[in-house]
Amino acid sequence: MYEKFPEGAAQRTDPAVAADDLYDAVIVGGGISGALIAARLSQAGRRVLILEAGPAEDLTLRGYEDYLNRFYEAISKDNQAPYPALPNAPMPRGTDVRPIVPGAPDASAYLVQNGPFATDTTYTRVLGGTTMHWEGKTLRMLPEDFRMRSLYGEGADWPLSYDDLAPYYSEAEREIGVSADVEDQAYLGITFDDDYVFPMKGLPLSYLDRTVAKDIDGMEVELDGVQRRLRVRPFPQGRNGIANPDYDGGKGYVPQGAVSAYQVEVGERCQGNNNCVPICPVQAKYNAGKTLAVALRTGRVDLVGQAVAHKVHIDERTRRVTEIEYRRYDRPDSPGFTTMRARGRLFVLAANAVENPRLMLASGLRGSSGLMGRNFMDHAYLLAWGLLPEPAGTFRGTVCTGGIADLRGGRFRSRQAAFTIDIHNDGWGWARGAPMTDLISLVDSGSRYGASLRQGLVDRVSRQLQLAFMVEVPADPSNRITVSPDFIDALGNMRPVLTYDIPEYTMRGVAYARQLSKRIFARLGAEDHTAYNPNFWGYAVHDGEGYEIRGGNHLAGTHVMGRDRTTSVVDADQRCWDYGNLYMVGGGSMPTVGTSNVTLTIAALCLRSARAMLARLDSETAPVNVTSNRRDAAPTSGKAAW
Amino acid sequence: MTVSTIENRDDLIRYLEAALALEHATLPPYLTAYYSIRSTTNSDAAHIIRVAAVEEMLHLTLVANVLNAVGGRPDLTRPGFVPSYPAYLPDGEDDFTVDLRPFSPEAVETFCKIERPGKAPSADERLLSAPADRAPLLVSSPTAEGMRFYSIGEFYEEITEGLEKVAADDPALFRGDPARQVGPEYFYSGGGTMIVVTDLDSARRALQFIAAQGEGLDSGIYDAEGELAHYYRFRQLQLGRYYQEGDEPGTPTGPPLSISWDDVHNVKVSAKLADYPPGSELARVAREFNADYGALLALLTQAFDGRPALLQDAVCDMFRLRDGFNRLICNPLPGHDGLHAAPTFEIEPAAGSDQPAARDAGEPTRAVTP
Amino acid sequence: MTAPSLEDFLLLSVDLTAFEETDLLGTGMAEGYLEKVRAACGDGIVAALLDAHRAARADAAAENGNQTRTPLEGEAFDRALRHRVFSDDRLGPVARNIIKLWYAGMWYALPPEWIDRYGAHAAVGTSTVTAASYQEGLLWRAIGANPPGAKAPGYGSWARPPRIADRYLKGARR
Repeated sequence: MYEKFPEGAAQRTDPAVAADDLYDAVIVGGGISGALIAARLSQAGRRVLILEAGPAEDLTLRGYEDYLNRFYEAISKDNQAPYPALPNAPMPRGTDVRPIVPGAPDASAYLVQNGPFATDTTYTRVLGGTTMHWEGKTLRMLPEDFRMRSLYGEGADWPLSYDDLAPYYSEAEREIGVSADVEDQAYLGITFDDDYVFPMKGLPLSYLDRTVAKDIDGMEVELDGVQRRLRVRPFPQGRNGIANPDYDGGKGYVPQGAVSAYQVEVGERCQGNNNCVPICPVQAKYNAGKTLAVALRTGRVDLVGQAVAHKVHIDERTRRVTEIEYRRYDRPDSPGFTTMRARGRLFVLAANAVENPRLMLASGLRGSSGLMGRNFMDHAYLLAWGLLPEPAGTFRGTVCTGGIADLRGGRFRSRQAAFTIDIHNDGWGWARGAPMTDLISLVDSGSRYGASLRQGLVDRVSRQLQLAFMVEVPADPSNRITVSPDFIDALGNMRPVLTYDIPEYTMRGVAYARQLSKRIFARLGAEDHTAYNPNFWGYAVHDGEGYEIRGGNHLAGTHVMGRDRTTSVVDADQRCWDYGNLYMVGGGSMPTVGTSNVTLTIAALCLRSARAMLARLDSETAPVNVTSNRRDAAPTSGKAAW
Repeated sequence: MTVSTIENRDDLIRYLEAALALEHATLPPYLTAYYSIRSTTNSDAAHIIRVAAVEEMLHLTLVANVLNAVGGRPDLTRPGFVPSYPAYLPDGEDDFTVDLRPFSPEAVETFCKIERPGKAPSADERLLSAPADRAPLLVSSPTAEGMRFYSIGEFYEEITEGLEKVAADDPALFRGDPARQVGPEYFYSGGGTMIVVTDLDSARRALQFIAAQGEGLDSGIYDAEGELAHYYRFRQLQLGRYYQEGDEPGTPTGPPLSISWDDVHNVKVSAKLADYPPGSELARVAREFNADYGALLALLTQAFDGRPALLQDAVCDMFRLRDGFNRLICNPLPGHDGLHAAPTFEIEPAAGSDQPAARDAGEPTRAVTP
Repeated sequence: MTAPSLEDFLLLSVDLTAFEETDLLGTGMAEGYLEKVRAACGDGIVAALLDAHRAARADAAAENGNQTRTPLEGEAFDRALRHRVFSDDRLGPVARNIIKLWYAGMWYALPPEWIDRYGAHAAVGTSTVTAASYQEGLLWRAIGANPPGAKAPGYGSWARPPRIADRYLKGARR
């Protein structure tokens, strides 16, 4: 089935008319969090307004193919390559990152980096958000990830347990359309209901995975006195595979393909384009546009694009949010904008773990706990790369089909960070720009042409193995997002300023990962080509050894949830302790990131919060006082600074 | 009511074999037009043709399921299974040629004719005598010599009625091994689900689905699932606009399609190997394509003959044939005034090969041995 | 000076890439690539490159007896190409760029010292030729893979061994 996006839905809402409306909920951000909440609230009969910073364009196949063509034409094929760079709603780009000189913040790109550690982490500001470029790995968190403080004295405990979240994980797996087999995913305490099957069967491991598995399955690793046997395990994937007829008690599952208004059936099953990041050409990979289409079809969701939230207004007396003031730029390619407002019973900030706290801090709302913007987390990626003895067909499949998950949990976490290991089907692409860099060096300095070039490419590219260690980063209040009037974007919004360092705990995990990679390569008979460049922007030294650390785009922690208003920003429902009708949702609520890519957990949290929001809306039958503290709520015009 | 040309299970099987060949016969014309479109252009048209081609594959598989259900054995490798182009299809009293053409108004006209609803004005006119000079004529009766059907729709009507009749006479008609059925796990397509055929009801549904998806139901241009029939999909290319719900057949009111007839490789219409320079590299590549296509048909035969899981491999082979198709179409055909080459679909009888021929630039490729 | 012919450009390209002429024409990019090279380097240099290539073939033919096969292989031809083309200050970088153009679908900027000596034309910077050219890179075929984001190989194909031409697979053994 294809997802029908209602034609004209991105333009049909007049912001001026919407300004006089009182919605049940105003949602900032049209990514997966906002889309899921909009879908659930509207399906329950509630009226929702979504404010989206990206261009106000319908999700059409033609628009999607414009992304695709922009990608094909791009010289740099980084994870933002398909998406338009917008001065009015800028976004970080991996290619922006520079080494940081101590004491001098790098303000050369939208995300101001205060250091000391520089990161290439990104998020995408278009309709559908970062799920447009996400890889689509959908690991559940381990039960122990929710109790890190109690169990290991590191990081924080959640106000929720795995069991609390488990039903929402299942719901998120339906919504995203996850392909996996339960027998591969029940490990280290992850449990499923007895009759549970994933919506679709697991994607097959790649030939490269199988080549690695031949030597690695059964490899013994001792850590903290505990013996483990490693195995190459398929990852659950947020992309369409073979629908499992046993799903939902035998009702089966219908995979959702491309978003389109017209008759285009494509994307019902992954075709192995090996391009999940930055864009799946057929939309076999989930993107939040699929959920937005569902939400918009209810007829109860209004969408205003080109709407960049500027300020959250509150009523100090009632401790409620009264309106969100936003700047609606007239056109993506010009600086004119109109100041507008949006009002609702509930307000939901669903931007992301950088933009959510940025907006609050820019509104002067630091939070009574003082934790707004603090505890920034991401995953720290360590790459190790080698050449296998034989061609293993690298560069085929989805970006990553399998890896090693046996070191995600255990007692060792009281001392060092855990990690998941990805086997990258795209070879040394991430580490060294393969295969183009191989081509260039073979031709320009290897005197290769003709048959010897073809031979060289097979020798050098088809044998590539890159392991990506996704190492957990614990919450640290000094890692934080702040704002400053010194750094303003074109629309006059304060830009996010990131202060970030990799904690020692993580670096101990990194150092261990590097040692383990050497053992793995030795067991495979692989040539280890890993070499970390001291001039690399993410170079970090630990115990005298240097490592290249990369960002994971797994943003979290900046409005952390907790049981207590003094030690957290939101409660377990992601409701702000300080303002009764404000929800801050997404990765920012997560107290730990564990060793899972964050999107599935974000989706589960949002589905859970949507229930809480509906309950709150149901309980608030009395009219809400929405008197604005701004006398004149009429639109005003402005001009952006570019 | 005229006498049925399907008297027994053997007749039915012959009809279903003819239906299998008919469903396949539309693929080369669709694929030729589809792949003649230059890369990254004509998105609207490309999607419309691609979806139709994928759904012809679905129809092919559904016919195979019906054939398997009644104990037949689908064979896509028998001589004559792939017609020589141009082939002929009926259009009521008249007929029309089905060529392998580049994407063009003529090609779209042909596609509309292929998919156009064609109900015979009376039962007597369902079967007409077939003129001898129209060979191959794709909806000839396999049992009534020299007769052909008024339309594809009438052909399927005949099969459905014959099926009902034979099923009534023969309680053991659906004797096929259910394990031979291709289920939805092996075939995926947005425009309709795979129907596993085990009895009269499911067989009827499969056949009706095929007829309805092509021509549309009597009730309107959209079916119950909100899907537009193929005929109307192609009409959009003629009328320049998309249909949307509630539209009348003659006047789609959706957004305009953008069509660029020039962004097309102008391939020679229904090219033959004889058009290729003898002994040339290009001729060799064209022959190799045909051999690969023959191997695909052999693999599909295996999939339909008891090993449905092979369909997944067959789909991968189709993806690879796409690349070979594109390569040929980008090559000028020497001596043809700038016209380009295209696959000829002249399939040699399978030379006992089970596996698709594996080639890369004329060199053998093979798997890495572990 | 007559404009460099597509035919000669293809003959050169077959020898540089070890892909057949039908493969090169089969990308649909041959004419666009020749135009790109001419725009970046000028017809004089392209003609000189084609002449040098022809001369290298003649050298090899003289040494080996009459050879007409393409791609031309063998020690004598390899030596002639190295001497006449790859080691030439002016022609070597252009020949290498043509290889990369076919393999990556991308025109890479010529080295700055080359531009200083032999002149800067309009199209010298690194650029893709068209959206399609990236998809037509021969690199991907050489390694039995698809260009990421295009020419999908189909569900589950990745579980199978790569389809790499036999001679290159054998050579890859350690």
